[in-house]
Amino acid sequence: MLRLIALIGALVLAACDGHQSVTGTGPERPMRIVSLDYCADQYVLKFVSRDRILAVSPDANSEFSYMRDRAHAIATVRPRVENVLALKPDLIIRSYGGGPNAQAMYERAGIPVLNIGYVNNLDDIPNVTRTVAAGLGAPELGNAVIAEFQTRLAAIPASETPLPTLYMTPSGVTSGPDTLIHEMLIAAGLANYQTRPGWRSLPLEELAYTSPDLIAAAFFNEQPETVGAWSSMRHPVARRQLKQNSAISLNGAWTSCGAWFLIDAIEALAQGNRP
Amino acid sequence: MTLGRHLTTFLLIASLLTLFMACLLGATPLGPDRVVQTLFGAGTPGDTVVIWQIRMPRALAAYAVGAALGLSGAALQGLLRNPLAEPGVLGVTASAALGATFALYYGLVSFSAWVLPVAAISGALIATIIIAIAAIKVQSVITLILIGVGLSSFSAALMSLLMNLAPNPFALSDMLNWMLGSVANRSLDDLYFAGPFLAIGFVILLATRDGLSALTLGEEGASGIGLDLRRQRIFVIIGTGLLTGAAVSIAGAIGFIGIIVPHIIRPMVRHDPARSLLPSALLAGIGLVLADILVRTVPSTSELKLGVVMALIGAPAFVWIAMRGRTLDD
Repeated sequence: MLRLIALIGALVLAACDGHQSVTGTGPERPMRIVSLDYCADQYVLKFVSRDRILAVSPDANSEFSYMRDRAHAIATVRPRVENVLALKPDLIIRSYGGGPNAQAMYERAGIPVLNIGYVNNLDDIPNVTRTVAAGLGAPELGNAVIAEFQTRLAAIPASETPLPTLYMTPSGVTSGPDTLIHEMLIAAGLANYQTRPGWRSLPLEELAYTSPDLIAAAFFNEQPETVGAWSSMRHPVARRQLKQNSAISLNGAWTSCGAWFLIDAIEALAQGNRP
Repeated sequence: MTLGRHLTTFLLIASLLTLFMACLLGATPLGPDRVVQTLFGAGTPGDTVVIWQIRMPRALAAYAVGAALGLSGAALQGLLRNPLAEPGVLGVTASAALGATFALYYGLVSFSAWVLPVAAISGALIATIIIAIAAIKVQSVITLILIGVGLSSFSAALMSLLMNLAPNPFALSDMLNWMLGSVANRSLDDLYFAGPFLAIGFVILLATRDGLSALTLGEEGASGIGLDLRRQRIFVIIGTGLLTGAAVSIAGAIGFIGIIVPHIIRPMVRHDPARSLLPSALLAGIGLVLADILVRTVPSTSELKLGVVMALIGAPAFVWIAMRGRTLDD
C-alpha cells in the first residue's frame, strides 16, 4: 500500500513537473508545437526535436504513418479545440486536421497555425517542404531533405519502353492521369495502365481483354481483411491480376501523404521495373 | 387463373430479356451477336470473362435480390393484410444490414464465408419475429408500421454507432455502402454463399400460398377453414427472414421494391396474395435489374448506388400508396 502511495505521489510530482515546463514563460522557453493530423505529424516528427513537440495526432503511430518510429512515447491529442488549447501550444501545424474552421479558431485564441500546402504534383514537394521546414524553424534540414529527394529522383533511369503498370488498392480504386500516383509511375520509368484521368474503380472489363505488365499494389499490408466488402478488388477478375502479374508492393506509409518520402515508393517502382 | 398463368409466362420471358439486356450494356461495347455467341460458349476469352464473370453475375445478383425482396413483400403483405408491409418499411432490411456489418467489422467473417449471410439472416429474423409478435398483439395497422419504423431507426442508430467507431475512412465508406445498397462488383461467389438460403426461403414462402389465400377471409375465417395460424406465421417469418437476410448479404439494404411490385401485381391477380407471390418475385427481379442498368449507364462522376435509386423511386410510391389507402378508409 505504501509503495502504491509512493508511486502515485511520484507520478503526481512528475506530472506537475511536466506541466510547469509546458506552461512556463520566458525567453528561454522553446516553441512547443501541436500537430493536428498525420500528414502534419510527418513534418513535425521530421523537422522538430522531440522536446519541442507537445502532441501529435493519434494516427502518428499508425502503420500508415511514415515517421511512426519517432512518434513513440510522444503524447497524442485529438484535433478538438478544447483539448488542443489545454496543452497551451505556441504553434499548431495542420493540413486538414480540425476541419475547415480550425485556423480561424486557433488564431482567435492567439495561436499561430502553420498550414501545409496541398501537393498536386511531384514539383510541389520541394516547395511545400521548404515552406514548412522554415515555418518549423528548420530551414537547413528542409534544404537537405529537398536535396536528397531531388538527387534520388534524378538518379532513376528513364525507360525507353515504359511498362504499363496498374495501381491497385484493397478498396478497389486505381489512379489515372492528373494524379500524384500517375506522376510517380512516370517518374519511375513506367506507363500508367489506367488512361482515364483521376481516381476510379478498377477497370474490370478492360482487364478481361488486356493485362498490365506490372501491378503497383499499395496498402495491401496495412488494411484489415474486413475492409472492402464492396471493393472491386474482391472480384475474381481483379484478384487474378494480382496472382498472374508481377506485383510491386508499395508500403502504404510511402504514399499516404504527398511529401518527400514518396521517393521511397518511386524507387521501389523503378526497382520493380528492372528485369 | 388463366391471367395468372399468362402473367407468369410473360414475366419469365421478360426476365430473360432483361438479363440479356444487362449483358449487352457495360464499359466495353459488345454487340448482341457477340453476347449471344458468348452466352452459347463460342465467345472470345475476353468476352467470356466480361459476360460470365462480370455482367451476368451482377445481373443475376440484382435479379435474385429483387426477387427475394418482392416475394418477401408480397408474403408479408398477405400475412399482415396490409399493403404497406415490406421488409424495408418494417425494419427487416435495416436489421439484416446491421447483422452483416456487425459480423464484418468484428471479424466474425474470418471464421467462414457463410458467417456473412447467416449474420444478415439472423438480423432479419430478429426484426421479423418482433414484427410478427407485435402483429398478434396490436390490431392497428398504423401502430404496426410505426413499430417497423422504430425498428428501422434503431437499426440505423446502431449502424451509425458502428460508423462512428469506424477505425479508418475506408471502413467508414464500406459501412455506408451497406446502408446505400448496391450490386456493384458482385461475383458468382457472392451468389454461391447466399444461394442456398434464397432457395430455401423461396420454397418456404411459396408453400405458404394457400394459407395466405385463406387469410384474406380474416384470421377467424382462416382458422375456421382449418388454417393453423401459428404455423403460417412462423413459416412466413422464417421465409422472409431467409430471403431478406440473404438478399442483404449480397446487396446491402435496398428498400421499397417489395412494396411497389406487389402493389402493381395485386390487381392483376384479383387481389389474391397467393397468386401474387411468384409474379411479384419475377417483376421485382426485373425491376431491380432495370434499375441496376440505369445505375450503370447514367453518366455520373461516381456510380450511383442501387439502393439510393430504388429509394428515390420507392419513397414517393410509398407515400402515394399510404395516402390512397387513407382515402379509401375515409
